[in-house]
Amino acid sequence: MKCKKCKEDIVLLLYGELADKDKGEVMEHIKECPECADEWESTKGVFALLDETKEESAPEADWDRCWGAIQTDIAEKPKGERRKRTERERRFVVRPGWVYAAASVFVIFVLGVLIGRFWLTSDTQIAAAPGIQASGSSEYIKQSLSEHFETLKPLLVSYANYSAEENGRETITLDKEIVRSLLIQNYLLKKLVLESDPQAEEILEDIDLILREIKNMPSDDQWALSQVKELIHEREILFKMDILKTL
Amino acid sequence: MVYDERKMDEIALVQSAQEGSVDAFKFLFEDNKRRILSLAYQYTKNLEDSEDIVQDTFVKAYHSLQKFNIGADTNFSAWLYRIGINCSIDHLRKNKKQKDNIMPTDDINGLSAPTNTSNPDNTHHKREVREKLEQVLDTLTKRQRMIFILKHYQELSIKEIAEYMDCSEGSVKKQLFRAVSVMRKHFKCFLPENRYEMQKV
Repeated sequence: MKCKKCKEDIVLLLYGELADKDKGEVMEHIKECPECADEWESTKGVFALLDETKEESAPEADWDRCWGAIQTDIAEKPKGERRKRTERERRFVVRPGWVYAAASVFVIFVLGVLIGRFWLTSDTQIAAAPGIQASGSSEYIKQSLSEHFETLKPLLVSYANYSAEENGRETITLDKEIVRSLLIQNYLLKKLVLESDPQAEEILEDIDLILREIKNMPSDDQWALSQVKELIHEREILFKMDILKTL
Repeated sequence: MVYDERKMDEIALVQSAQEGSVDAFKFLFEDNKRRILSLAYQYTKNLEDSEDIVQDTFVKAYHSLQKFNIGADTNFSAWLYRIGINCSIDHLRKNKKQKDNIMPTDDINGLSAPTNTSNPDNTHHKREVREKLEQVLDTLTKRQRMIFILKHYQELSIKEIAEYMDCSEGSVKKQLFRAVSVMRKHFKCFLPENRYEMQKV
């Protein structure tokens, strides 16, 4: 049994969700592996701590007030009637020009990757000039990274500078397809820099996380917006992007 | 229409509520209010928010009553519980107060270091654990948080959670494992070394 599987199974075992056969395998592995034995002990300990808070039931609510509010609401709005959104609630949709610019850059990038992959870097060329290929490849990655960062920058700056107070109820609304394209672009670059440039790989990982958050967030979710903003600041994405571009 | 108090079964109450009886709906409210409050309170750790969630849940349920298919849907309580889960997640998402309470992970490590682990039964220790738990829950995603609450505190099975959350059991296990990993990371400092001996399962 691999440690990763064992660690996952420890959680299931403690929750009583593991079959007897798998239980035996986990316990056998724990006996032989000090790391998993430590995981087992600490998880059990943490469960015991958390169980101390289990007994605390919810305080009694003001049920009369609660039912009163429900009754008022259902009396005001007949069944099935949907409340119309007020003018104030309607979100202002921002569709900045860079969204289209990002789409164009992405199309050019994909075309570049395809042309480079199928026509310019055949095996015979590599065999003929390995030195040139190596340096050319590194230059190509650097240029691709730079272009990718340039495309991303306006988007990340918008989120990094987003302020609920200043922007009022406005939100940043993006075409999910664009974000998906950026995610694919990011993924391709991650594959390209894999292991050859740990710094670039790390920042691409962070960007991947942020783009996924953006892609999955509802358009009017102020809380999620602030989370993305925090992520960008916390991981110093914009700063790292600038540094990498200058290297 | 006179209701034979609580003896009237759920289906009959739902049918009456679907026909427009607010009284029947009140019986359904009385039967289910505590379970929804318990879920909401464990999820938000705030009574005021939990009361709001209970209200939202029942209002939404009332307006969606026609969608509840007595023959096909399992039971009203489960259907309502599912609405309660969604309302809890939505409430946390919309609640701006919650946003202000969120702390970076580093701050969590520093803020609630245990001051007394020698006597884990004392009130102070329990309060520390509870406060820490609230902070750590804030670092989880809304779904991870809900899955963790449903498993650890509501003690539902992974299969039930998957049904309520409308996702696969594999996805529930993955999210649960992540949530427990975060808990372990932050609560490890509360554990006295060698306090727990290996026991046979």
